[in-house]
Amino acid sequence: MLVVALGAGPLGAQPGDVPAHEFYFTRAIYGGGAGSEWGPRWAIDYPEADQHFLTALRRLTIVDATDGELAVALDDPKLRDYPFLYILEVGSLLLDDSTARSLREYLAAGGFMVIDDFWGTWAWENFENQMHKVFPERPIVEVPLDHPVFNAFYDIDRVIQVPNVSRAETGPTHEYDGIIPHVRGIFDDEGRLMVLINWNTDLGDAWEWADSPSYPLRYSTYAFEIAVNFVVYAMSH
Amino acid sequence: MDLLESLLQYPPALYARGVIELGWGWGTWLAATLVVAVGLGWWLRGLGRRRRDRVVIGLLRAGLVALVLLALARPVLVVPSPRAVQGQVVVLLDDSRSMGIADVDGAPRARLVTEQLAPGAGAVARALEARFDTRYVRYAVDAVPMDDATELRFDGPGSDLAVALERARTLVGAAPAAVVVVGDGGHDGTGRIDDAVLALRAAGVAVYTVGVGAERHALDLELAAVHLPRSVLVEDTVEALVTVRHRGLAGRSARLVVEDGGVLLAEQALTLPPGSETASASVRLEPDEPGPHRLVFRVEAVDGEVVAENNAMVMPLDVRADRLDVLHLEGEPRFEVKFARRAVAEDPVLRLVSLVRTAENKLYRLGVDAPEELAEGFPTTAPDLFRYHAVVLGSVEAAYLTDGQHRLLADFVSRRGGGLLLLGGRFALGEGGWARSPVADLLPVSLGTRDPDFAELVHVLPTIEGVDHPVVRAVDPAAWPRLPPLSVANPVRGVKPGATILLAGEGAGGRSSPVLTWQRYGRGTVGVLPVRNLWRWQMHAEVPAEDLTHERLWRELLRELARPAASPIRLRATPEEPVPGRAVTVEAAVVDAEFRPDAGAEPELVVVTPLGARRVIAMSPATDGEGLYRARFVPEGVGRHDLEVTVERPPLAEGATPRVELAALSVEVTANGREHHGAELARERLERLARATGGRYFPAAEVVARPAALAEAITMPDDGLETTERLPLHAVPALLLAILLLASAEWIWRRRSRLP
Repeated sequence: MLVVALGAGPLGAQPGDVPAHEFYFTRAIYGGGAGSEWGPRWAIDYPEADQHFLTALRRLTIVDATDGELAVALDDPKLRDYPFLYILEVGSLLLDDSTARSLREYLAAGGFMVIDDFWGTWAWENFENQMHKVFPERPIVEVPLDHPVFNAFYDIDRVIQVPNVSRAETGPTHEYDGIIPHVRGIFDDEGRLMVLINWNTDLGDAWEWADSPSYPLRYSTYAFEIAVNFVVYAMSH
Repeated sequence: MDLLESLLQYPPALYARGVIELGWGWGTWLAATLVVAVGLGWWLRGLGRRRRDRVVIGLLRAGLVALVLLALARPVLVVPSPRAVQGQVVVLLDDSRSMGIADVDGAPRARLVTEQLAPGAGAVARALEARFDTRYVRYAVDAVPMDDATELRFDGPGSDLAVALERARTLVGAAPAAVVVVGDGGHDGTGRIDDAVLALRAAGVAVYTVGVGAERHALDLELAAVHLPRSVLVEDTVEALVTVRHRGLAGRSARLVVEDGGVLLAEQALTLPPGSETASASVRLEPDEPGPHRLVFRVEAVDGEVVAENNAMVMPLDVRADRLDVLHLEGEPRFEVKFARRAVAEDPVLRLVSLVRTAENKLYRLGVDAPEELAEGFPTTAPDLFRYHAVVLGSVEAAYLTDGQHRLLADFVSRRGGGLLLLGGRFALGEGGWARSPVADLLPVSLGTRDPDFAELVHVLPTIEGVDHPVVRAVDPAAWPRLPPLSVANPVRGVKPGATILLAGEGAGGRSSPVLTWQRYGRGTVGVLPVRNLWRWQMHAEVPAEDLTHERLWRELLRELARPAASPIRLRATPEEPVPGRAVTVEAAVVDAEFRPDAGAEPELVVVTPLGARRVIAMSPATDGEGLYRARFVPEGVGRHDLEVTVERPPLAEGATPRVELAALSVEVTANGREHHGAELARERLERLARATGGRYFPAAEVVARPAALAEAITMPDDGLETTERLPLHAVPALLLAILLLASAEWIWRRRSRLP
């Protein structure tokens, strides 16, 4: 696992002044919360999950995706070069006013954020509080299964709880009290999805351990499929 | 035509005036008579013994032969030519409203006419009448013979000199000896004066002109011209070009206002330049309410103006809410798709349909109207492709489309008038193999060779040629320098002659390269924008949230591409400033589903008058263009007349109801038209008219000072040409009937006398 310090600028793939590829899987660097035994919270599963997902994305689609991971701080102006943003473990997310404003402007300008890997009521409440700083007026709502994001590339007809690697074989699949997986969203005034929230599920672990014989194929397959949909949707809506 | 005239072929009066001549000389007659007499005598000898039979039959046969010989002799009736009637003069009196302008020593022009030149009214008229058989015609939009000065009303909303001259030429069935035109020389009719002059010259008719009014007003402000499209789309930015003419106001300023139904849309101060008598202004309007609008452009009057009626113009403007369909084809998922869709999402006119290849043989459709739209991918037939108004090709290789689809794209632009925009990208332009496709001929640039490593970061600025283009004008000029650089993904080898670089990019080392190049191709428009990340102008951190450059640029790009795409029915109405009583011609150009001229259509015109009455008029095919149809109507009152042309099309499926295509246009009929515009005496026109026909121009003051001058100047034609006409008589029905009667009589006599 790669451990990096905050405030060091974009990490991973180093595009020039203007990104050369069409798509970068951009992971958000944020502060807040204690680090884990695997490093800072934002860097969980980093960079293997990102690399594995990009490999799958390039293989399954025609998207001109970079082959390396990229992490950018939420308040870094360079973030505006990358309209797709992935962020996880938001149960410990802590946004100051400046960062919240940066994120709001990023999303209002057309950025798209996918949230992953946070479980249970406590994590939800923290995330909800932080997002309230970003969009005080915008509700978080359930994204129905007939929403275009579920058919942008693959046809997804149900939301599956994707467990972390340690629970995938043994179960139960949930963590804390996060028994039911949800896909929720925040929409803009025109009804466009800006923020896609995967709560009580861990897509990142499924990508990271997709090459492990012990990790069940059904979870990693689903995790790749729904995330490909997220990317295709984000690049077209 | 009565029975006698039918039998004689010509009016009996002509026989009374003329002389019959035979085409044979005496020698021919003598020889023919001898041959006939000998032949007849020999023939009679063998006709039996009864003398009475020989006499009767001989006389009948002799008469018959005589009539045949008469016909063979090519008889003609020689009559004086009706080409010119000696001594007849037609006086044309201007009866239009501009004659009410008080610029003849402070009195209206009309007074001079009624006092000096109306029938029997004044010395000038009496001098003419004493010398010639004088006929009078008053003219405005039409020309009407008149007998009395009281018939002059000076209320005509237009002046059509061409109609008046033609009426004068044909007034009495023959050309007069001379024509006198009395008026200010104004002409706003649709007829061509030159054509009327040619006809008069051919008939040897001289035109004498009397100019009434001031050649130059001391103080006047006139709205001389407004150039404005007849129809625009909702939320289009319209630029009206206004020309103001002035007299005696150099160095002063004027206020120009534009109103729509009494609501002020724009106002602008105009400085009237000292060195010129015209000033121009550009007024930007942004109509957002769909429907017909009646815009009034007006320069506010100044004290002491001679003509106040020429300060305003009414301009109809149809604001259409028609949908413009744009098809965006992408060979790979790109953020450009997302951001282009966002940019035009709120546009009430544009519908952007995106067709994105997400994997090999997998397409993602966005913005389709129905499940079947583009279900088979990029269209393969003309009707399917031509339903769109513009096509955007993104990062997609040429080989993705078939040869047929390439040719279809070329037809889409050249024949349908569609717009085509090619964006940059790794599969686009030269890198996508488009340089060798039929589409390359359409492009405003020559494409470079394939260079996958090419990438250039450029700062984009408008070119001098581009600053006035609507696409460039959509962006706030102050925004250009602060916009972030864009990536040019494909090299451009050169710009073709006739193309315009609207935006140029400055790259490393100050090298400049085309960023947005534009050209007309056939009926359509083609643009090349070889950048792959226009979305940076929306997303970049240095672009403030309130900056609308990205939205405006996309909207105007797509509108400008799609706007020229013609609808299947295109309408035009002339004249552009109709007035009551003057016929309006409505022309419809109709094409079929493949946008080829449709000669088999049966368009119908519906005219809805300001009072709501509907008149249905069948349109007739025009002979000067395939698929062109015309109809005429004469507006009876002022106000907006809505015109609708419909064409019934066959149903798409058997048993379905026929489809009806419709095009609409409105015309504004005004009481005054442009009668008071350009209302100074058009001396030059009147002089030219007189000169071209051998007549002479008189200032009104000259004929008033010496009333006989005009009558004395008029000379009768003496051109030495043939003044008689030879009318053939060999086929006169009476002659043929007489031959038939004599032959019948002989036959009856023979039957009665039991002769063979």
